[in-house]
Amino acid sequence: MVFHEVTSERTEGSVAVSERRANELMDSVRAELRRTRPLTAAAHDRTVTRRAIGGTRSRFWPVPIYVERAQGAYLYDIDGFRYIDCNMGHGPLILGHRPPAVVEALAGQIREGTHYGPPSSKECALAELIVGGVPGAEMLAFTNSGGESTMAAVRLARAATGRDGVAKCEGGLHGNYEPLLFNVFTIAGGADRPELVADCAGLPVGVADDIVMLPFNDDRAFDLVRERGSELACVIVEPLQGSAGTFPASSSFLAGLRAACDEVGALLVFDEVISGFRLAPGSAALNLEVRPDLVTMGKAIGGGMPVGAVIGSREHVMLTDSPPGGGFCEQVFVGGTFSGNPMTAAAGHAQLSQLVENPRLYDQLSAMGERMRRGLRRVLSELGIPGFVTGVGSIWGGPYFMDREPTSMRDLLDSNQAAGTLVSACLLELGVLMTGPPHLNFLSTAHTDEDVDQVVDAHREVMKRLQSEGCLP
Amino acid sequence: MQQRGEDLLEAARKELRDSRPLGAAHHERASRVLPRGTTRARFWEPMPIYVKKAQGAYLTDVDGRDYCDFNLGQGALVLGHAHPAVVAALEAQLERGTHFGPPTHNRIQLAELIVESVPGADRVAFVNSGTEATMGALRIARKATGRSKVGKVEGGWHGANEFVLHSFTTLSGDAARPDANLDSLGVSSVATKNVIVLPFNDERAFDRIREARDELACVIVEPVLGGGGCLPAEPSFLEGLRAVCSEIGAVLILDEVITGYRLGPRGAAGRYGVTGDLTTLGKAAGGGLPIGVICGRGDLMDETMWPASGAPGDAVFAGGTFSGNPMTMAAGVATVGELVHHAEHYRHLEELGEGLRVGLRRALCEVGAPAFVTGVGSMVGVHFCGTMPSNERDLVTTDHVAAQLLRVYLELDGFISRGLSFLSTAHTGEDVHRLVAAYERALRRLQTEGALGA
Repeated sequence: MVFHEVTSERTEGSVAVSERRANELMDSVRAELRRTRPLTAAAHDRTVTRRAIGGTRSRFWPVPIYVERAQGAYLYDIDGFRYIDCNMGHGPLILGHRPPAVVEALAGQIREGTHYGPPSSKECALAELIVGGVPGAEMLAFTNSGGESTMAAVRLARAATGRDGVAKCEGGLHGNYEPLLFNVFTIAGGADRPELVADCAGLPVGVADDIVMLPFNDDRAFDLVRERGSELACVIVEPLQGSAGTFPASSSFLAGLRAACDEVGALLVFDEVISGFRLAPGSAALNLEVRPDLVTMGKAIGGGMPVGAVIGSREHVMLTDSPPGGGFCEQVFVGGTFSGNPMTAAAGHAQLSQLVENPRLYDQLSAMGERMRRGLRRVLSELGIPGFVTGVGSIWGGPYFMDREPTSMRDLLDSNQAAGTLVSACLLELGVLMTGPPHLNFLSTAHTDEDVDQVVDAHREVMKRLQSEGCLP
Repeated sequence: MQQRGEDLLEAARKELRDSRPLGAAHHERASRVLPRGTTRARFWEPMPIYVKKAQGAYLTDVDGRDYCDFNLGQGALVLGHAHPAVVAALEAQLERGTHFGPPTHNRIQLAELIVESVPGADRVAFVNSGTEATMGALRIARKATGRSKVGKVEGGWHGANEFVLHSFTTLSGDAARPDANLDSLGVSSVATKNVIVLPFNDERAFDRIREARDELACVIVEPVLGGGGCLPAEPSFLEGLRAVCSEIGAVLILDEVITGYRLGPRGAAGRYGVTGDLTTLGKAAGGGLPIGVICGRGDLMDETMWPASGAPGDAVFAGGTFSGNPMTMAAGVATVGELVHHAEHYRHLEELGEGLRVGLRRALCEVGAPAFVTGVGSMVGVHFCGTMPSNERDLVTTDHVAAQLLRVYLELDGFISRGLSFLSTAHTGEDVHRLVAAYERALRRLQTEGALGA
């Protein structure tokens, strides 16, 4: 996945490198990986034949590997190679792969049935843990994915306000709900007034009319909210933008959005699919002054099983329920066959219990995250490569090869993405797994300082190689 | 009559509470954090039972009561609960890990099983739910045709996808040209402008489609309306939709979330001999774990989902953290492999389904209850309405109170059967006979209470 910009102008002063050279090297790295991993190559060819894809996520991987098994911080591919996993299933596995409590919960549940029609007795306990971690929240409704949870949140906001407008930020990835698939990967127009661009083909005519696009971490967003305030049902924002390059929202930005929402009567939705239970035992709002009206979560709350949830006040969440005997048109429809299923509830409960009972785990995670960021920055500086590492807590983004420190996806347009892709590919050869740009990376409590240092060392080796090959300055 | 119905519901609620004290306590606790005690309370009025475990054709609730289960996770569990092959596959995957960023081998295996079995499926993309599958399929159709509107039939259920979430139960307008009525609050009017609602099992739908030829991207239809009441499409209706879609260059999407691997190894498409350009699957394909599948014609999916151009806006996005996750894939491979390679399962399911329909009709007749039995294969519907229903409009006279009371009385008697019943390979002829007998008892009770109209 690489960023795009609609205009052809590229800011002067971007890191001077040869993209052609990087692409050539990429071809040879790919060939080498294929040669050394014949089973992987064969599996990839079979996948391409059938396009057997889990959504379109395969684009996250510059060179695909196929996983045989995983344990703790390590993942093993079908050719038997071991990797330090810096992806952790795109974030959910905060306790690492196969934490004993989760394995035990799932092993029991598998034998007691994976899915029922009437609710399971486990849904409630998971709901209690999640609601308990969100300041001011009283209730939630489960969905099957983060994408379904943002869909639910937007519907609740629209029903609560009677308005259709939705404001989101550039670079905000909120899953695959149609109204939110704008300016996810693409930058267009000026930061004072971004132009809407659909980042998904096949959206229905008219969907864009409801959307207001905001620059991220940029005070000019507030005026854009006010300008169309009377139409706005909600502003949805990630307290930590993930897919855009791992940028925490500044507290002043969130406070400004809160104030603008209050002024115009719109709800503020925190999309915490990534940040929920990742940065704190609950919502990122636990560490913030700002309180959202609705929160969406996914990933970590399912303990490694598919999950989504929309969390908020009783008044808001109860909109999902029609009055007894009421029809479908008297409720906000949220739900689906597998929503609240017992496998997810069992795994999620096992994982969140550990996190809630041991909040110091977050200190451990943050210390490791800091060690990683510091280590990578040191490598960049040692090698004299202009570049930056972003992130907070156990999440980091980069390295982004560029001259000035990025604070949003807009800034990353100036980064050398070809070199970034190459770094991810070359790291595979050294036993480190991370996604291609924008490199959204995660640590878990199963990682150790030694793992972190190995990842840093591997980066050093790869960047040296890229330097010697003329792909990095 | 309405007051009488409410009194009976209240009495049934009390009976449920009194006989299931742990369930009642759990309901109270759960209602503090979940709307009326679960994410899907509306299916289980007035109070859900809370399931502790399940095996084969049976559920056990928190009070230790057993139920013969004819709901099967809204139809997902064609092999019944905790089938040995599925348990073994999940245990093996659990040993390896539940979820990874990069793909696994079993994703390819499930894709290949789907290609092998689903008519017209050259390519496969996995998502997390039936809802996400229909969302993706609609986008593929819009991108492929350059048109925006979606044709769907009255009573058709395609999940929470708001671009079809219309006229499921809210019916109005001329039967030949039904209005598009939203079935959810909180949806932009943009959605409704993109929906054309078609009459079901009515050839006037074809003219409506032709009229909209310049703006219609696709027609999405369940071969057997599931949530809409277990109403099979007439073969000629499906064939007509196939022909008219081809004629005007619209994409035909068969929504087989319910019927896929339930009505046969090749789903309803195999049974009807009608092939969609795209097919959506869910439920059974995941073997009891969350899944959605978009599959279909290679050219259509290649051009839209994986176009040569790398720009994000040129490709249909259908991602998601857990899409194609290895646990779902493991359960799916075990379930689909078992079903596709053992034709005897479907003979058994057909016999059970037919036995249940015949038994229920006889029971209704003996009791003199004004109700009709619909369905095909292992799907069986019971309707308290005036005539044998063939489309959603025939169901507007349904006595919902009687239907709900019936469901609760069956529950009190140890059977889970909503208006739409499903069978699994774990069920026996004896289970079916027992359900028929339970229906008869429940119907007689309704009659005694004066809750059966006419």
